[in-house]
Amino acid sequence: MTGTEPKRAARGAQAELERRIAALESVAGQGGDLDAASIAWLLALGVALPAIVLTIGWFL
Amino acid sequence: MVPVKAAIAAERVACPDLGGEAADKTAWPLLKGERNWGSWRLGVALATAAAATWCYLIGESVGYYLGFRQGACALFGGSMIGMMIVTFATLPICIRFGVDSLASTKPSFGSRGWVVPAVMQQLSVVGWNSVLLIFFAKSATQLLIAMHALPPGGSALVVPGTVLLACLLVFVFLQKGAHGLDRIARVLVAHVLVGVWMLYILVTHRWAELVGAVPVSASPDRVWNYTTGIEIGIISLLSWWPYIGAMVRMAPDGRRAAIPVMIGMGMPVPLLSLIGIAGVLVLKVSDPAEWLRTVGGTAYGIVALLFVAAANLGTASAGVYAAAIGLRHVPLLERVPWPALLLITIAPVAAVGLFIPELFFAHFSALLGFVGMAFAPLCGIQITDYYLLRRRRIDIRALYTAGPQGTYRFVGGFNPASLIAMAGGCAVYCALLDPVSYKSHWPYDITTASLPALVSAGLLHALATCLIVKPMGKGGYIP
Repeated sequence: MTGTEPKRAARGAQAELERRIAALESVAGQGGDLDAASIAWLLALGVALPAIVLTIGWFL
Repeated sequence: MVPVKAAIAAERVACPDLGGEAADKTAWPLLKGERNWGSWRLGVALATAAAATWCYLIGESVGYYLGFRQGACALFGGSMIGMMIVTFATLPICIRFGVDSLASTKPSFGSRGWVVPAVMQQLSVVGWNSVLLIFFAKSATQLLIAMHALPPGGSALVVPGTVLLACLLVFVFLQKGAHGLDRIARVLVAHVLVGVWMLYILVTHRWAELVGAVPVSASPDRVWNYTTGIEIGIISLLSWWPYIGAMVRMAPDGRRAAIPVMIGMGMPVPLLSLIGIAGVLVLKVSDPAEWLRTVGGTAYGIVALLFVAAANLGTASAGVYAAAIGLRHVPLLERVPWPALLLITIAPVAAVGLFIPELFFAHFSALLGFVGMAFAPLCGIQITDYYLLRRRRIDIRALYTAGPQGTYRFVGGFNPASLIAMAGGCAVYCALLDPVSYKSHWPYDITTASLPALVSAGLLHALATCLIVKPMGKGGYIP
């Protein structure tokens, strides 16, 4: 391997990272955040359901 | 569904400058086109990762304090709470930008401060993987002894040999990165059903004994026992923090990830932990390879061992994958070839299995305590930072900018607010519950230790940010 190859690879990697960051800087390029329905599901499964199960368990 | 080979080929075309590495073997953000795991595929991968023999040890820990039905409820409730906390802490940043759990800490800990959660992640993954692989090795040894294939006391070479074999298999599975994980998940997910069958066997054969069994270490204080069951559930699922980001980043959006995470990753642990609770209550042993042999003979023991092998290999693979992606954030390891990075990640687990196999195994409850003490404050800081202080605004460029010009540079790369909050949260946890001895202090009985640690770390982070960081104009916070 010549000395220029690692440098070329590093430049290529930097360019690829830059391409990815540029794509993700626009909202259209990003994945969707948790929406209201997802948050409702999380609260139902992570708060309401445990509250019910824990109450039942306490009286067993 | 996109065929796996086509997906890998597409990624290589999309990433020509990665030197032959697919994007899922780097810590770089994944683009929308590369994130092709739907809800079902994500749920299967998460369930395979979640269902492992730590469930028996978790169940055993609960079975010392609570009976079967109450233990099941406490563990289920605590587990779902813990899963929700981890999801709110990591999922938004991971899913929006296709990054792993560690990258999601950079806005709150800083462009260098992420080493704090990185150390926690590596310790946690090494600890859990050691427990899993040594559990597998011990089960194999016991079965060989029962089948007279090995003399009693002849485990000296079998345990380290089996651990090394398991490490080798994990190394081979992960050659394909996340797609290797996906492939083995599709096969190994069947073990969840075997686990349900094992539970059915124990419950139907020993129901009367099960409901009448008295937990051996139960405190006279009924509230304390119940709270401890909930606490064990919460901290067990906080263990998913290091794993979750590397997998959910393969899904395109939060809507398709939220339910698979809660059901696929949250529910298998309390469900399979019932095997451990039942085992320790009735037969005083949580290892199903041992108690299924007692209940159904050697044939059942072999089925249980196969289950243990499948369960632990899937989870260990997920752990090693997540840890390897985490190590990619270290500049020295950024461009190390993937096989070499896997070897670096697996080596500590192999070393533990070879030289000190009893250490992690004998201190399982301390490992759980460490997880609660470390990850509860971390989650509190992340939730506060993302939802309250940043109002969901993240600078993706700053996640990959380590120099002085980066938004998340703070002070020398470290965010003093999160370090103060982390220390405060850990102190609150230890003040309420000693993670080694499990000695507790009021108000642990009514609050648990992890929830106050989470809340106090979140409050401290908000307070220190408003009083110290914002006035300095650091961190890119909204004025």
